[in-house]
Amino acid sequence: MVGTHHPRRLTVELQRINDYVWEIPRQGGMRVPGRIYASEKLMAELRDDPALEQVANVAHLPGIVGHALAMPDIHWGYGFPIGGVAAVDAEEGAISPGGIGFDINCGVRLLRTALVADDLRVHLDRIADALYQAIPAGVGSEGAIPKLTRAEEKQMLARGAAWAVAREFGRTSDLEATEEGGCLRDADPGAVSDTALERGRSQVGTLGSGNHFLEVQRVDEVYDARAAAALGLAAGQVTVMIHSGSRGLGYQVCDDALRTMGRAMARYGFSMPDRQLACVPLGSPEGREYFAAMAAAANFAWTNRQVMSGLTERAFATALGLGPAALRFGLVYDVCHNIAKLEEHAVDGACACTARARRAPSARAIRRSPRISARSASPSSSPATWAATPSSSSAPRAPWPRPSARPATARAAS
Amino acid sequence: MVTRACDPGPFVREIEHTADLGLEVEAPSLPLLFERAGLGMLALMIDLAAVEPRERVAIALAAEDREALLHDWLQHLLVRLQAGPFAMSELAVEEVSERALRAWGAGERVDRARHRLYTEVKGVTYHQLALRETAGGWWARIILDV
Repeated sequence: MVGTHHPRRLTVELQRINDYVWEIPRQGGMRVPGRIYASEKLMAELRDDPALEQVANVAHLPGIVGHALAMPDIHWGYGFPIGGVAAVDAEEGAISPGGIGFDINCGVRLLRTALVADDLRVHLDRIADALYQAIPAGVGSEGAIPKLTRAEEKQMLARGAAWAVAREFGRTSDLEATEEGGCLRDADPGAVSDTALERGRSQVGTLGSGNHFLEVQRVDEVYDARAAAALGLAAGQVTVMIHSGSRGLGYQVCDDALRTMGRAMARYGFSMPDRQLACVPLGSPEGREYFAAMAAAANFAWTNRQVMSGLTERAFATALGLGPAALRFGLVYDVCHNIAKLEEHAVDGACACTARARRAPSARAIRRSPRISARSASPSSSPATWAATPSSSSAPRAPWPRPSARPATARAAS
Repeated sequence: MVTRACDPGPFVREIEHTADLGLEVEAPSLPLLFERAGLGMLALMIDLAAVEPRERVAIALAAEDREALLHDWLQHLLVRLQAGPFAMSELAVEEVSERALRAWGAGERVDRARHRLYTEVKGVTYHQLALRETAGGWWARIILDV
């Protein structure tokens, strides 16, 4: 009953800069070239992938600085490619909610413990049961902690992960191991719609579904002993990885903004080759409101992962009958994708197109200005040798034929 | 006309997409295309066979063009499922024009004890969104963020 229409595939011109850097020269409405970091092998797999066209599309963003970038995890997303990065001028640049994505500040954190994997094997079922019980997962999951009042939720959106630590989910040192300390200061809970607030109230501390997971892992092998020691990691140690984001609140913030910007962008004279990249000037009322709401959603996501960390520790304590001193939970690091941030970067205007890894130190004196960078990235899929996975990864799928031979990275994408 | 989850399908076909989920749908009429696309997307998230059409809800939407209308329709069903959480196993699009839609859906609140949940769709994207009239009726392509 379905015809043979296929997504549009354009041939994107590509120049090789060196063994690992490729450039899409400016063409059509591109304001800057595209730049992809990939080996020859990766690039061979990408040749027919719409992700290259997406890099070129991102290069159309008004106010984009330097290049439309793509990291080695590049693959076909929506709006931005997965692995896409762009910097725009904080004054003249455009902000695109569809480029940042629905799951604002979807991210990954790794927790360390003092437990040894070999000692834990016999307790795995008990730990999995306790995790399932403590951390709701699946479509529309809710109820990990009591439903917040509207006032509590707004406090949480303003404070980020510190809100969770103040409620004894994890510890202060976790904030030092979280990107931005777990809080974007530009957050304004007042910019978040009532619908988004309502969707978020009961979802703090929940995992969600799709590619989100909580996985009990083991350090298989240490490649750099000094770095591992600095991170508090050693071979055989039990770790926990959590991949989740801003849940329904973030999805709604994105959808609200897509609607607003789709209507507003013509007023600013903007036009983009992909409707998903609808955008407005960052300094416009719509741009400022979205940025403030996106920052609040990012804070929700950090709080969410922080609460889940605390719930994980409690689940381990219940399952094993051990206290905090024996478990010694701590955060190795929390890093997010799907986010835009105000950052200061040195840009040598004259050399911007070359984007050399090493910039002339004097460039800092030439120009320093805050920038917005948007990232859409995927964590690498976790190589757990054994895992208790209270996520939906094993959930049954809808009963119609699915395309075969998907790349392994697909489930790790955000 | 009403499209029911138990009607012979499949209503949609999944197209290859590296990270997200692409759907194609065809139908002899535009209302039917909207109904099939809606039930096809909902069936990704929940086993609709167990969703009883106990309660009927009216849906009226307006958008700037037909593609945006399809986007808003799917997004509406998605939010109802996630935020209600209310799942619909029957959809009837009574009227759909270039910029407006009037429809109803029938279903029930999600009961985790009875309803089998699949994956979570985070949002309906505009990326490569297409809706066209064809020789045999209508065709659409939708990419979902999963």
